[in-house]
Amino acid sequence: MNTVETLLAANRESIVQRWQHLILDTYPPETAKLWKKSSDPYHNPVGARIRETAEAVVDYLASGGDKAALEPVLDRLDELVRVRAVQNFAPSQAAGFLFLLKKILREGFWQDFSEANAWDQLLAMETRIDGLALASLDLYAKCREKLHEIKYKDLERSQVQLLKRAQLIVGIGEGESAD
Amino acid sequence: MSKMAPPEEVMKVDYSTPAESWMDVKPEFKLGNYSYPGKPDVLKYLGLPNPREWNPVEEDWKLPPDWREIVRDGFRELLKKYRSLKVFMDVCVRCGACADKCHFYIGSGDPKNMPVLRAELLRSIYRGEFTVAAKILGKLSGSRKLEEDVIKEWFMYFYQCTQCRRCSLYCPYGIDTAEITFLARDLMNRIGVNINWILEPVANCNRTGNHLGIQPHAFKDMMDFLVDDIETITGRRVEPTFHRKGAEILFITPSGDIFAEPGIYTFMGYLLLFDYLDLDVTWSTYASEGGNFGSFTNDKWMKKLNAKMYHEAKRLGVKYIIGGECGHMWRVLNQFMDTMNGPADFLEVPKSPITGTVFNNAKSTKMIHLVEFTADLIKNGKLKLDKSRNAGITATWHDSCNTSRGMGFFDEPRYVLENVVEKFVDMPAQTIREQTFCCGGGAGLNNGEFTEMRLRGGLPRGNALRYVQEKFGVNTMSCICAIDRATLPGLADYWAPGVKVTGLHELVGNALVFEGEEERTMNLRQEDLPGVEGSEEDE
Repeated sequence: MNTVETLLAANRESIVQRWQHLILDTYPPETAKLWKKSSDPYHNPVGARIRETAEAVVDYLASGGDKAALEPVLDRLDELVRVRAVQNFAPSQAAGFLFLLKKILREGFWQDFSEANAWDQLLAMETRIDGLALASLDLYAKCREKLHEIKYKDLERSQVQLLKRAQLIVGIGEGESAD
Repeated sequence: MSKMAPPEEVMKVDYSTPAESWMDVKPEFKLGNYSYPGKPDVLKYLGLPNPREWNPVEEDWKLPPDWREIVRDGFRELLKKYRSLKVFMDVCVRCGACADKCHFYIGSGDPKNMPVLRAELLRSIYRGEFTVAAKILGKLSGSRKLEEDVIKEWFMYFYQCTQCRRCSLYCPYGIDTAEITFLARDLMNRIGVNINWILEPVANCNRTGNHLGIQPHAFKDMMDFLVDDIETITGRRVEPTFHRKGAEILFITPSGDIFAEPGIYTFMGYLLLFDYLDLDVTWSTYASEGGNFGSFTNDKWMKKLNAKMYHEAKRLGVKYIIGGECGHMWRVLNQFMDTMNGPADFLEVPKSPITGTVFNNAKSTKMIHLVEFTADLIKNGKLKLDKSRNAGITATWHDSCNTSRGMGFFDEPRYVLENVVEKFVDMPAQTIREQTFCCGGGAGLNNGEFTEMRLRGGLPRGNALRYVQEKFGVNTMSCICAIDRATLPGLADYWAPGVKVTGLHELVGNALVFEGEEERTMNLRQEDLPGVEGSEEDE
């Protein structure tokens, strides 16, 4: 582990909590206050998913570029982006929560980076965060596509039988051949 | 050339939401977060005031000039008529017990979806217009004056409440937000602020017999197609009857079951069960709707649509009514029927002709839910069931708000389900039975334009479903409500992809073993049964 990764691992708890709070601050203040306090996964699923995603991302970043598996962290990101994709956020806001982690690193550890002259490592770390942010945007787009697919399927479920019953559409008969 | 801001400046971007008093935050209407307004023709037909073309995203909602007086007078009238409303307006102490219990709040984080604040939208006007405190303390007393923005806020948030009553379960005073929503919608209807997805079904139901406007001959045609499908699947020709005078039982179900997937499979389940029992039951095209969108409109229409079922029962001279897998039909029946249209003295207390069980719980309404009828049959060993016909299913149970919280069906549907599937797992305790989470589509919100909001409100249910899917391999969610059957497939597809949605009697229909029957190779969806491959592959 390099200096930046070590800092991330050593301060895991505080970074995760700070990040969780910053993400919750993207919600209205009354809600942010309530959701910061509650850890019930069924009455506060958004808070729970934010926490789990923050942990997964920090662990992934702390474990070093090549060693960590990307799939599980993308699955976690998906759980959170899926929520934010239907919460009245602009796409940038829905997927942009990754950048708040950069803010935490810079604000919290600038002195440490400076003392260790670890700027190249910080750049590398931030690049990885950028990569995850782009991946989140992909996930966001997939969720929105899913939303529209659901609308279409809902319509189909409610109408297709009517069309068949009215014999406005007819399928291919059993054993029928085009020849 | 302008200088780039240093990175630390760029990162000072503040995503946090500025603090503002809730009264100062105006609702923002955009396509997807509201339901389309009632059409003028529909309003005219129903005799509702202020029929006009209007659009919530536009500034001018074309309210009648004296809308303030209408709302004030209406509010005064409702306060006098419903003591509960006055109590609900006065008694809340803002303890916060309800705050995080609403599915729309949990999914959206919008504070105005906290039940306490939803009620406060009305309460602030109650204080501002009807109490002395406001005259002395003004805004400090949490009161405000009736402005057009208040009406817009009501429209936004009282049509973001599915009247599921989960919040009232946690309220130490038992404040029923669903009733507050009922009455807020009643007030809005008086000035022509309403949604079409509710009013058009009410109009259709009154005119044609059901919410969808299916005409009698079309209803019969669709039934015939389902009868054909049943013959294809089981080799049996079932023979349902319509408007048969002197039948013992009138059966009424939501019209969604007759044509929409997956409701039609449940419908086929009903037909198979009645055939199996050789039940003396008849159907009606006049009473071809179990649901009651009138209950989402006002008490007048709720009463009329409910009365229609009883008129038909009287006309046909049946002994009692059995209702199908519906949600709010039962809320209306259990909570309001008796004082609105009851007691139904011309009918008899339902008694199962198969088991002899007398349903004294329905002594006054004379109407029972099919699920209690079926549970009683199974309990008395009257059904031969083969669970292997539902093999491969790991089921969970979605308690529909109206049948569970509204009337206490917790064990009957689970008992039936456990008798027809091999594997059943409940979702976590905080999300089922009395504490069940709404599908997000109740109270007239299962319309196409509202899908995104509904998915938002569906997060708590979807989250619990996802949990049992990952942990126990649940692949099927069963329920007894037509709105659930319309709403949950999309919800599951988004929050727990891969879980399918079924009605309960679809699974019963699959499992029913008839004497001397042909071997079944497919289920009611015409999917091959596990272990039975398509004939070509077998050869």
